[in-house]
Amino acid sequence: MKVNNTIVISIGQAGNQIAASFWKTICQEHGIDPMSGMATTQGTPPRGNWSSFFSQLGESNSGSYVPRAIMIDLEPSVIDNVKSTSGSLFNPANLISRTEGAGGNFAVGYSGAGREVLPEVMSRVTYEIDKCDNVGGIIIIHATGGGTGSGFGALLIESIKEKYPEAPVLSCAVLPSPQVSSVVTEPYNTVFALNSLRRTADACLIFDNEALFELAHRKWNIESPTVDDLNLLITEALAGITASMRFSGFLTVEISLRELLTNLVPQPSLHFLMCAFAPLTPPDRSKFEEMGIEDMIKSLFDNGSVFAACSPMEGRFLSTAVLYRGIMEDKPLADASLAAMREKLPLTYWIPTAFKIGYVEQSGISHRKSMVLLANNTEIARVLDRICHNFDKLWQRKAFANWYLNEGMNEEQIVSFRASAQELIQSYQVAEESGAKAKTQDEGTTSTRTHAVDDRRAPSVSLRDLVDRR
Amino acid sequence: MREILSIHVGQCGNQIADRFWRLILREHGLTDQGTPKDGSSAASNANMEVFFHKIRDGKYIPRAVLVDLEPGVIARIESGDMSQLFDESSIVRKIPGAANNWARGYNVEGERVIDQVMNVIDNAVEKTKGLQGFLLTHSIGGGSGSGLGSLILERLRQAYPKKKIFTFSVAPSPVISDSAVEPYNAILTLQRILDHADGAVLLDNEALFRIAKAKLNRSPNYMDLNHIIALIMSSVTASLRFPGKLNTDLSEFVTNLVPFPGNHFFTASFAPMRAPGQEGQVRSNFPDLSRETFSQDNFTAAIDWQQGVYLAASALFRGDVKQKEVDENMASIRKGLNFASYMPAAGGLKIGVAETAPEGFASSGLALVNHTGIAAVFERLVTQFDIMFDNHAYTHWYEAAGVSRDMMAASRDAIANLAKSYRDAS
Repeated sequence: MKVNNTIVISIGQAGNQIAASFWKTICQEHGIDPMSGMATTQGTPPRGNWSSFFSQLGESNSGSYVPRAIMIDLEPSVIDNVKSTSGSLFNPANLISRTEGAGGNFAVGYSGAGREVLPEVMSRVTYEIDKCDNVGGIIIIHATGGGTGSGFGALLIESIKEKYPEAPVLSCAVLPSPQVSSVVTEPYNTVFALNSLRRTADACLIFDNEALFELAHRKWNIESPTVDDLNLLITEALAGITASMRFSGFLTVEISLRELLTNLVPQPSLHFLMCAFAPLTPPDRSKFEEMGIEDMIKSLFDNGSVFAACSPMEGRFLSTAVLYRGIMEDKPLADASLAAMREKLPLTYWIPTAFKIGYVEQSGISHRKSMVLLANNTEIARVLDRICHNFDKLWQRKAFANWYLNEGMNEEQIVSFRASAQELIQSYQVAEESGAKAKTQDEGTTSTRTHAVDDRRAPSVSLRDLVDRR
Repeated sequence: MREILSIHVGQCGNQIADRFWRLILREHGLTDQGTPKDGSSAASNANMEVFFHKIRDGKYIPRAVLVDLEPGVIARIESGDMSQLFDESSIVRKIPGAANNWARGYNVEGERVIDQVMNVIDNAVEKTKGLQGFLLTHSIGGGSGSGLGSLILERLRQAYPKKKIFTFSVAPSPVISDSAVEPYNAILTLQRILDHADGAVLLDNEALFRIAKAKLNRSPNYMDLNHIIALIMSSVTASLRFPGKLNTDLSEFVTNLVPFPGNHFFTASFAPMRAPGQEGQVRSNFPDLSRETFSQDNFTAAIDWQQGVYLAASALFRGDVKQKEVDENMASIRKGLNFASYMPAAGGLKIGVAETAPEGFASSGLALVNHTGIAAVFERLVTQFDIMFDNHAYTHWYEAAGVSRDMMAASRDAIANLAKSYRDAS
């Protein structure tokens, strides 16, 4: 059966660690051995629409299943680690590394060593795309704090969108936090990467380490969480988000990446998403404790459980997708609780139907029942603002700027990247203001259309101005 | 002969197909594979040719075309109990789906598959002797059923201008929305139904859910909802398949139900609603059955009953119902319905009886009505459309797939006018 295929490209240290953990998880979900790529039940094909994320040579059930994965790093250690711990799962030609690293410098990943590795990477991308029945989407997992994930991530997304403008590209971007930081230049790298994510990616899903650190600490009761703990949280969310692309059937219809984007991106410039996962039961307890459906939905929309350091309930939801797993019988209950929750949410009046619901029968690995929230919420501006604030502190004194200037960037460019981030923040602020407008204006008769936007007190930038801005 | 070709488009359309054909097979005494069951009586008095095409070995093949841009639902039908039923050449399944976007279903993906779809339809039509028309099942809020469904409607009308086209269209519910862009998809599709179909039965998941919940004493799932749709479709078409006097072909439906051109949007009700397996246990007396059939709670669209009036209504009672009982109760049923003042005292309501009840039922009732309160459905969608459209929400997805804002606005105005024409008819 032909299905939409998704290619997962991971870049840099964090990106590849997350990808390794993601592939291990979904191998288990599909019944594929994560060391050999063989089906765990011999002679029968893996569970679900395995071909959405895996390819296979030939038609027989005897061959092994190969992740549609490309992993890239400018230094060798993480890729070597993946090679030594994943047996023969991955196609070795798709595991690409160099020796020098990017030195925590966006400019090296974007123009220096990054440009040199680009042709090899693009040839692997082309190879994977050619193998697809249809490119359902390309998911890029990268962190924006380091040099490779930010710089090469930006370069690769630009190159892919230039060569394959039709393929939907979702960037899953891990934002840095001082608590788990390894690079002091993170604010620079992140702001520079944001410019590309804003202009070229179809959507960008933010995983904010600042929030994830708190979640691991408070919900998972870990004294001082490590990067591995945070990556585990991200893996749970990614497995949930992709579940409806990987398992679909008669009643549980596929939600492709493109379909998610149709629902989540109301205007091209407003494409920065956040997510939440429930239940946040510590992994070692999930076998013994189960959260009720209503509590899970409450938890999803709780300011304290979103994977971004902000308070979505204080901002505005532009659009929302909730994806259930493993709760087919409870779906009516879940729908009812969600409808009740919806009443309490700060929604945007000009998007009256902003709910997409998806459901998959197949449970995840660690929880029998779980759900993921994907939200386009204006509070993302607060997260971006935090990064920009840190950027400004450094840039005020031009601290560490020489590293970028030495690699060929100029001050003008840096200032324009910073301005681009500010425009993005402003877009979300405009969306937030406009969303609060009273509904009464539009409750006129249906035969005469009201031009609500024209009548309003015009803010400095209006929603209409956002349309072509990107 | 008077054959009818059913066209099922999109996930929802094909899920309905799955329930619908199961029911039809049983009513005609056929197995899930389309072969006659032994000692079957239903098959003998029915006009099998309407819905089935008989092949040499005595097997009956549904006159159905299954189309989807995502293979999941059809694949499940093909691998289930009815795996041998459908003609493989009448199935079109493609990827990658329309992504909830009418414009992708209509333009981008639609253009890729429409020639093949029309080919399959033409081939199916060639197997008929006197085709009377088409039934289309789809949802109007998603992408494939709405967008590709619209394109198929346009092409059908072009290729078969004289044939009747009926749609069973699942409309977005006022409470549960399946996607953020439903209002756009629905308005764009409704305009094509307005322009190219002869009749449309609007079905709303919210109403179906409410009906199912009240009758089943448990939380209904999508199968239950689709089962109700299948029961309605089976009864709407029963007069075409079994001997009777009323609405024996699709043209008669249109004549009886559509007083003004364009006002061809109906809502339906089925009674008695019972949990599967319990249908036969209660034999309703006729006054109860007719009361339940015309009960406002029982209709499948969010009708504004307060402001609106009946323009026309058809009812079909099946099974253990005597014509005499119908005649005796006719006047009181008519009195209970709030007809438009300009309808003659005896006009507007048509009631028929058919011997064969749906499988498992002793008797059943179906009402198919044209009520001006359906304007509320259109008005709600237009209001949602306007709020989003005026703020440029989501329109970039449509423009990127070749549907301009002007084109969207034109559809919106057509449906606003439709709502107004219904209000004016009150």
